[in-house]
Amino acid sequence: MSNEILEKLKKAIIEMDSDAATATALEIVSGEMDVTDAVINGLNAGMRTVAEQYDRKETYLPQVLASANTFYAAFDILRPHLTIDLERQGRRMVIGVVEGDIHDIGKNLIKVMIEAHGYNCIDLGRDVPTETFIKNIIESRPDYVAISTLMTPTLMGMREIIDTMIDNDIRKDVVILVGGGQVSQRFADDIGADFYGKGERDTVAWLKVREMKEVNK
Amino acid sequence: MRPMSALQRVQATIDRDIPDRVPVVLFFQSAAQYAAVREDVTWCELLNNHSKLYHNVLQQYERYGADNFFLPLDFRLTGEAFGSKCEYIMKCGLGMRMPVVTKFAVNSIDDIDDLEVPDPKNVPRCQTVLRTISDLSRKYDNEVPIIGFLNSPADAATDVLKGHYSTIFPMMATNKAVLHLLLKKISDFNVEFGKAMINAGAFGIGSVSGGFNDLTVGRDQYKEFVSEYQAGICKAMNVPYCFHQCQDATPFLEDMVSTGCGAISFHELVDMGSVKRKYGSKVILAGNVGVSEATDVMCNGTPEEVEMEAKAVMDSAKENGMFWLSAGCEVHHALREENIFALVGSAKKYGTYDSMGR
Repeated sequence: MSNEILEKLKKAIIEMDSDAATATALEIVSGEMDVTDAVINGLNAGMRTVAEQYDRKETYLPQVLASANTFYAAFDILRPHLTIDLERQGRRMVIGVVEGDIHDIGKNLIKVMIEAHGYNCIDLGRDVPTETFIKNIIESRPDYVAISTLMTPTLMGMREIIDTMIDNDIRKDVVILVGGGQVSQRFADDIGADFYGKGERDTVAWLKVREMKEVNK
Repeated sequence: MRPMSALQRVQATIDRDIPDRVPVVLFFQSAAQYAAVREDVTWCELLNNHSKLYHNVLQQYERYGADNFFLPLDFRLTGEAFGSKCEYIMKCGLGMRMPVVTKFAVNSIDDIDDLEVPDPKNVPRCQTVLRTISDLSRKYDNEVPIIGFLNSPADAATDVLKGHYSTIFPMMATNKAVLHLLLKKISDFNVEFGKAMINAGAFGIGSVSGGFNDLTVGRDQYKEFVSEYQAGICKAMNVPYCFHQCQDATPFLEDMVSTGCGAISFHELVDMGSVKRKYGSKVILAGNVGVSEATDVMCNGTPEEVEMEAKAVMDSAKENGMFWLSAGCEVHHALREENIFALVGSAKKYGTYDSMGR
């Protein structure tokens, strides 16, 4: 695929231009170009740039989410034409917001950033009952489980999920990350989580360091 | 110094005088939740029945000894006033559930132009609040300040437009004009509801900016979409107005103070001593005993730890008055009730002033 097309896709993501992104995606599909190349070196590359800008505090959540919306608008056009199952590549993470909490902005941002770094997220959404977490963990056998809640009232839902994972003997197989507005390191330690993330930056950084250690083992 | 009533104590800080001791101004839900559990009242009943709300709120003063009445942080009220529908599904500890919006008043940004600003006097939930304030005012006038609550327009917008924060945040980057139109309408509602609360007997207003914080927005966005609107409401109200910013408010302190509000409130993530030195003569400071990652002592600490942290906060901010002791933010609903007593008790124990205002 020409660099020009890839750059157009990338630029559209960075500039939050959904019209340009979808037009380019349609051009790729109708031109029978390499869709996988477009996703990896166009869309993902664009989101990675946005993530790096966010890391440097050059952009903030509104721009990141607008870029993510642009990403998914183009990806929805390209996805049916993918020749490989990208969702089976790389590390898998089950992610969701605990039952009773509908605040999913932090979860969505983690998902965008994680995916931009090559992870595959199985997004359970928000207000997710504990049994739905357990069912998906058993079925998809992820490497990571990320649990989020913004609100203090729903903090105890995190403990319930981890305790139920232990009861179902699936806790030891996964790394558990928790985060959200009122979560603290002490609370994360108390409920037995492996990592408390204040935000997406330190979460991605921690995952990278952890995986580097895994490789070097 | 002769003992002051709660109202005299708070008024002294507003008048830049030295009170008999540091006032304890509660802005969090736990006290309300404990009171509700004791009386077997659900959040749904509490927020929709003025008699139950009245009996609940008065316990902040009668049971816990706070220096104010604060109407619960009823975040969903504005969304409901504009036509959104709530369900009481949010687990909040002690077996209770709080409301979340499950059906939004506006499904598309194209419909914002047609959205009508509701008259608070015709909104049942507003009526509940107004009657409660009126009853509290009749009984405790000239004794305890009543603080009404207004959600920040930007946060309230997430309860009006479908998609919640996932819709509002990107609009700050790609649909600014439409978002400003929505925020203006919510601000107009806030001003009217705020004035109605004052007319009913409220002493002042508290407002919270929650989702728009240092983790999500830059300073330019904060000024454009948060503090400008707070300033407008504050100016229109012209009453004691406390503006709380969640998470680390440090990057936004100048903007918060510039709204013209009488008091600012913030998490323990903010260094109270530094804020006191820079802004302590311009605005009342409220806070900031730990609730989150910095210490979370209110939520998970012992009463002794709460007392010690409250003392440390007072040591850094009480000098020369213009300080209210409070938690840094809303605390976990199932925290130990003893920690609420410890917070209030610490002001009585360590918050007195000498003749030099220390």
